[in-house]
Amino acid sequence: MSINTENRKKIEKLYSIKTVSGSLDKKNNSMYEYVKKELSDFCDDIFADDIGNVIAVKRSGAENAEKIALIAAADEAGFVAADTKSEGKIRLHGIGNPFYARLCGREAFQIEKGKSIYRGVLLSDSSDTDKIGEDSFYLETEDKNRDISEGDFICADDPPVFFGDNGICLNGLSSKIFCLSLIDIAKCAGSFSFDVYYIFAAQHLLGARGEKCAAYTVGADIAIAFKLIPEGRTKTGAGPVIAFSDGRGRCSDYVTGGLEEAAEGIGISYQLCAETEKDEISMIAPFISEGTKTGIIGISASNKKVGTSKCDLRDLRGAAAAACAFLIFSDEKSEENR
Amino acid sequence: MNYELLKDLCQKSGVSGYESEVLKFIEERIRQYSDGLEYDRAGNLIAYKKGRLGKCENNKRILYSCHADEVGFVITHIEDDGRLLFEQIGMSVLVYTGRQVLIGKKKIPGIIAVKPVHLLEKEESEKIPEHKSLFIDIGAKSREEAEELGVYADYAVFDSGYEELGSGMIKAKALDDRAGCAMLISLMERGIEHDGYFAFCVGEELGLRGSQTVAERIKPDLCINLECTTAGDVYGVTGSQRTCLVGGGAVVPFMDGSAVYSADLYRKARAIAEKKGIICQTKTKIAGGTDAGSYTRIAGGCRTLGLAVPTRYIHSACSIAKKSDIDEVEKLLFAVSDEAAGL
Repeated sequence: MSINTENRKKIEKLYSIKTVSGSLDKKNNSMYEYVKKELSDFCDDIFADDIGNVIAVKRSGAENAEKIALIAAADEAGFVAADTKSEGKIRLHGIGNPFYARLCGREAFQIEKGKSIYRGVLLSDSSDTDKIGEDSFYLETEDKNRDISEGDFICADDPPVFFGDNGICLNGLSSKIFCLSLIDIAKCAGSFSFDVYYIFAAQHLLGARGEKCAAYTVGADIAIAFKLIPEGRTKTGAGPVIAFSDGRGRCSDYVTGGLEEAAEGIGISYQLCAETEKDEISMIAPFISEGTKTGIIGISASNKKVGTSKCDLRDLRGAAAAACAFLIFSDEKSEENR
Repeated sequence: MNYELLKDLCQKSGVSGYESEVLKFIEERIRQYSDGLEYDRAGNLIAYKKGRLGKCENNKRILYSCHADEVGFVITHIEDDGRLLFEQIGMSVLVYTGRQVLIGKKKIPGIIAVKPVHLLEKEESEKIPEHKSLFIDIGAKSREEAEELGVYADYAVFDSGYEELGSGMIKAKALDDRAGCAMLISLMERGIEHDGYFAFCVGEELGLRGSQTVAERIKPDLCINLECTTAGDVYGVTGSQRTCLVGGGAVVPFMDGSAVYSADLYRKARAIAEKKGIICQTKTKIAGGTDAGSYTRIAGGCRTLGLAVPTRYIHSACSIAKKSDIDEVEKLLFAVSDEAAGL
C-alpha cells in the first residue's frame, strides 16, 4: 500500500466516518454501514452489538469450527457535550484523552446518527498552553445553531495528513487505520477450515470496553489484535511489528510464533518487540481472560504520545499480509492435522 | 418514597464483602412480592417478578439493578496493645479520621483515632494524616481482649444516624445506594407491567464485582441501574464542575467513568420525564463509576439506562440528599418501568 489515489481515497473515506468512543451503538452505527458496504460480498454475517462493535464473520461451514478473531479499534478520541446551559458556553468532556492543545482552534462537528454536522470551533478559556485542558475547553458556536444537548458527541476536524510516498500522520490515538487492514484481509482471504471474526471494536479508548464485550460474544480460540506501537524499540518503515506482550498481558507463544513464521514465509521483514507500557490500553487482556490465545501485530508510530502519529503505509501493508498469511498457514496446519 | 424503609436500609450494615445484614433485610421485605428469589455464588440477591402483562413480546430480559453494599472498613490486624489496624473500602483518609465506627454484627463501638491536637507538632497539625498512622480504638487493653470480642477480619461501618434536616433534606450513611435499594423494593411492591429481574448487587464499591456476575447470569437486554451520584454544588465550584445539583431533580446520566449509557434510552427517559412533568437533570462532569459498566460490557452489550439521586458527600460518614430529588427519581423509575417493554 503506497499513497496512490485509490489508497488515499480509502483512508480518507475511513476517517470521514466519525467514530468518537461511545457514539456508536447497535442502531446508530456508521461503521456498521461502512463495513457492510465493503464486506457484504465477502462475509456471511455482519452485525453490530449494543456497545457499538461491528463484527463480520466468514464461516467455514463446519460445525463447532475453531474461531480466529482479528481485532482493530474502530473508535477515535473526541468529546461529549457535558454542559450546554450553566455558563453560556458548551463545555466538553474529553473522551479517549484527546490532545486539547493541538485541537484548540479546530473546527468541530456534532455526530448525529453517524453524520457529522458543523457546529463551530473548539477553544479554550486559557491561552497558556499548559493549562489548555478539560476544565478550560469549550465549543464556541453561534447561538442560532445551538442545537446541542448534553450527551451529544463532538469531534474535531482532524483528518490524516499524507506526505512523501508512504508517510501518513494520524490523530495520535487513532488505531482506526487498521480497520482497512481487516477489510483488505477479509476481501483477499476467502474461507478457511475455521470461522474468521473481523472485529471492529468500539470504545477501545475508554478502556477496551468493546474488546471485552466482543471477547465474550465471540469466544475465539485465537485472537490477533492490530495496534500502533510507539516508536523507540521499533522504527517506522522497518516492517510490521510483532509484539509478544503488552503492558497487561503476554501473548501466546503459539500465535506470536505463528505470526513470525507467517511473515518469514511470505518474505516480509518484521520487528519483534515487547510492548511493556502499563498505561497502554490492552486489546488482548479481555481475550486472555476468556482463555483465548492471543497475538499482537502492528506498526511503529512516532510521536504517538504528543498527539499525532507518523506511520509508514508499507508497514501497514506488511502487517495485513502477515496476518493474512497466518490465517492461510493455520488452515494448512489444520488440514495436515486432519 | 417510603422514607421509613429508606431509614431502615441506611441503618443496616453492608460493607462491600459483608452485605449479609442488609441483604437479609431486603430479602425479607421483598419475598412476598417475588416470584423467584436467589442468592448467586457471588452473594448478589436476585429476584424475579412477573409483570401484569407477562413477558415482553420479544422475550426481552429486563433487569432493574442497584447495589446493596456501602463504603466502610475491614479490620486487618490487632496490635499487642489492643489497637486495631484496618483497611478502608471506597474512601479517602479525609473523611474518616476521628470518626465513630461500629464493628461487626455485635456492633462494637470504636473510634478511628488520631493524635489529639495538643500533642501535634505544628507541621503535623497542618497535614492530612496518613492512613498508616490511624487505628481503631475499641477500648481494649490488649490483643487478647480485642480478640475475645471477635473483631479480627470483621468489618466496620460508620456510626452515623439517619436524620431529617434543613428544608426537606435527609442525612445518613450509605444513602449510596440504599436509596436505590429502597426504590427497587418500592417498585416490586407497586408491581410492574412486564416480567423483570431485580438485582441487589454486592461489591460495587470494590470495583463492580457483584454486577459482573449478575450480568453473566441474567444476560439482560435492557438494564435500568439505580444509583446515587456526586453532587458537587457546595464546594465553591461553579458551572459544569458541580456535576449535578441537590434540588435539581432526578439525574439521568449520559455517561460516567465506567459506561456510556445507551443514547436512545437517555433521550427516551428525558422525554418520559418531560411528558410526566418529572424534574430531571444530567451530569455535567463525567465522574464516578457504576454497575452500568458491567452491564454494558456483557456479550453483545446491554442497553443500559442510569437513574440517580444527586447526593452530597457520598463515600463518607454521612451523605445528604433532598427528599424531592429522591421522589423524582422514584417517579421516573416507575414511569420508565411502565414503558420498559417498548424502550
